[in-house]
Amino acid sequence: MKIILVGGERITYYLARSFINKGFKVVVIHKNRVFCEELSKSLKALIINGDGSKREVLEQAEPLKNDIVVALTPRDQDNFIIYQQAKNIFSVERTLALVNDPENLQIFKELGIKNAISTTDLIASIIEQRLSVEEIINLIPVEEGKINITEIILGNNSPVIGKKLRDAGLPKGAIIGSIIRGNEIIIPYGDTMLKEGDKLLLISLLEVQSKALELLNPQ
Amino acid sequence: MSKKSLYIIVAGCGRLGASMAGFFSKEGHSVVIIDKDIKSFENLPPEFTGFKIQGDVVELENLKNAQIKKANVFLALTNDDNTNFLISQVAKNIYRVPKVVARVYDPENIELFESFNIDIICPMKLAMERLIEEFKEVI
Repeated sequence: MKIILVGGERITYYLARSFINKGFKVVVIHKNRVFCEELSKSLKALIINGDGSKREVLEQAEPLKNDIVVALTPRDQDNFIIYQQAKNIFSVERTLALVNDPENLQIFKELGIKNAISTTDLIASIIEQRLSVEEIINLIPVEEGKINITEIILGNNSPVIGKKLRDAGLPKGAIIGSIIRGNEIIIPYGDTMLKEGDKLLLISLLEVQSKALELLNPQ
Repeated sequence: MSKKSLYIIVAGCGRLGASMAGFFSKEGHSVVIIDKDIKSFENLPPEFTGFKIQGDVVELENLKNAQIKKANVFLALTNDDNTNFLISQVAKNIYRVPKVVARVYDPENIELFESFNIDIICPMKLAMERLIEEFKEVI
């Protein structure tokens, strides 16, 4: 079994390197001759210089049924044709196509490409998850969002850690309604000390909300 | 075809795309031509009366702006086989455009396009067939 990587930028090199280190046989097909020369010096892999969207070039990599073909070019139309040729002409069962424009993900799926991945979508969803899981958990708008209840966890870079609530510098119009610290639920007052990992229930007017969030967990 | 006014989308404003767009305009059809290179529109003949969209046909947004849902005919005439392969399938299988034709440069690609039931035109193949025909009479 071998892994055939077609096109792509630096990611192709890193993918090839990591698969070689894991003991896989790797073939790289790339249009750029200079890049190919560079790869052939640094990787123990078969490097083919050519346009992998052309059948005769892909053929040189001798794709077999149980191989893996990954289309990584920056052009969706190229990845599309690489996938279809690998699958339909060379009967490669495990084929993967990178989708650059996330809008094309649905198109690819509707046109029969089962394994299409959008890195833009992947990164976007990771960012969104990070935002919601680590910091701002829950946002309850009250009165059409004029006032919001937000859960926020104090990260280790928060400047309010170790300060008393009254000295934290929260803007007027924002208060901490409650602190959840482990299993303990605290209704704070001015002397309450803020600690890393505290989950705060922030109640704030819309106009000061982002200021308050920025103070508690700066980006 | 000349009886009813059709809504035609031409992808690619090279010589062939531009000439076809001009021809369809002259025949009284509504034509939209798309090309990512604004300069390519200089290829359009004076009889062209349709709309021009500057943009990449691989971006769905541009096909939507061209109102691909309404199209009766879609011609994939860009100078890139891979692009024509993808967009003709988008037009045919997703937007159900009744008549879709794709231009194929590389005769090696004919089989692939045909295996996906795409109607094609391959200028190279046409020229070859015509030449072989000529030779038949001579030899």
